[in-house]
Amino acid sequence: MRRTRPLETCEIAVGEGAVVAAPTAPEALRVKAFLVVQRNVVRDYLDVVALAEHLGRDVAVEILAEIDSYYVDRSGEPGSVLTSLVLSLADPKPRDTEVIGELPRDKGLEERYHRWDDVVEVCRSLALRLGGAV
Amino acid sequence: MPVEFRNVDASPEDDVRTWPYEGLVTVIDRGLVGDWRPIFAELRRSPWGRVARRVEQYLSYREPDGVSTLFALAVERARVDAGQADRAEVAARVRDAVTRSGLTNAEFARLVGTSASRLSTYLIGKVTPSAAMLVRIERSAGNVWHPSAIG
Repeated sequence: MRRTRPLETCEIAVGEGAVVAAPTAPEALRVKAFLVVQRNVVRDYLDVVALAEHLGRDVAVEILAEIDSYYVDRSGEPGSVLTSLVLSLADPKPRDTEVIGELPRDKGLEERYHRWDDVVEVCRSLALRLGGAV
Repeated sequence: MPVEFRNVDASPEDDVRTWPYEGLVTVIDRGLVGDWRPIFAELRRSPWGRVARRVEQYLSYREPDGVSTLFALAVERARVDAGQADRAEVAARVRDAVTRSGLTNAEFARLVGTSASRLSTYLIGKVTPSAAMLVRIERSAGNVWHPSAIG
């Protein structure tokens, strides 16, 4: 899978006249969604869920529904990246399963994401909406 | 390339309700999100209908994977949402009946032989009345005798 557009960034002032370029929030969501499909570790699902909650699920679905305009896979078929994303979110099976039981030990993780079942529920809700099943 | 039916005399462009079983299976197995949408739309239109039952039938022996999970979730969600919509409609009909009767909630509850607290659970949709009770509620709303109305 490869990127087909430049990263969309914004400038963030970090004090003393310094500015850094960072991905916009929608872009961050796309990148994390790409990682769900490509890398498939617990952190990727957590990031997608947290960003979707931050942006609002409606907005997140609108952004992710267009993911094929930003990434392309080997098949090159329109909708194939979205399909891969929907399937990963419908049935999250990250490779690093050992992490799942240790989520409460993650110091930077909000408590609402400590239960993997709750994370999966949000993933599935996004999958159904992205797939047009709700 | 959109999914195609090779072995059956139908096309994915046809109404999903007319697809042969093999066509449905082909779309589930080989389709992408865009190909699945007509199936999902039909699941929502008729959550216990023929297409829904065929999807369930296929899922009963299909290899478990993301696709199977997605379709199982879609069937389940369509049914849950339909059940909630049905219960909300019943509550709306009860509210409409009470409004039409011109009575207070307590008076109307007495009229149909239930308690005010039970009626309030019907009104907010927390409890769904039996079919017989709904018939009584709707019939009673039109049969209220208002002494003041006859002078």
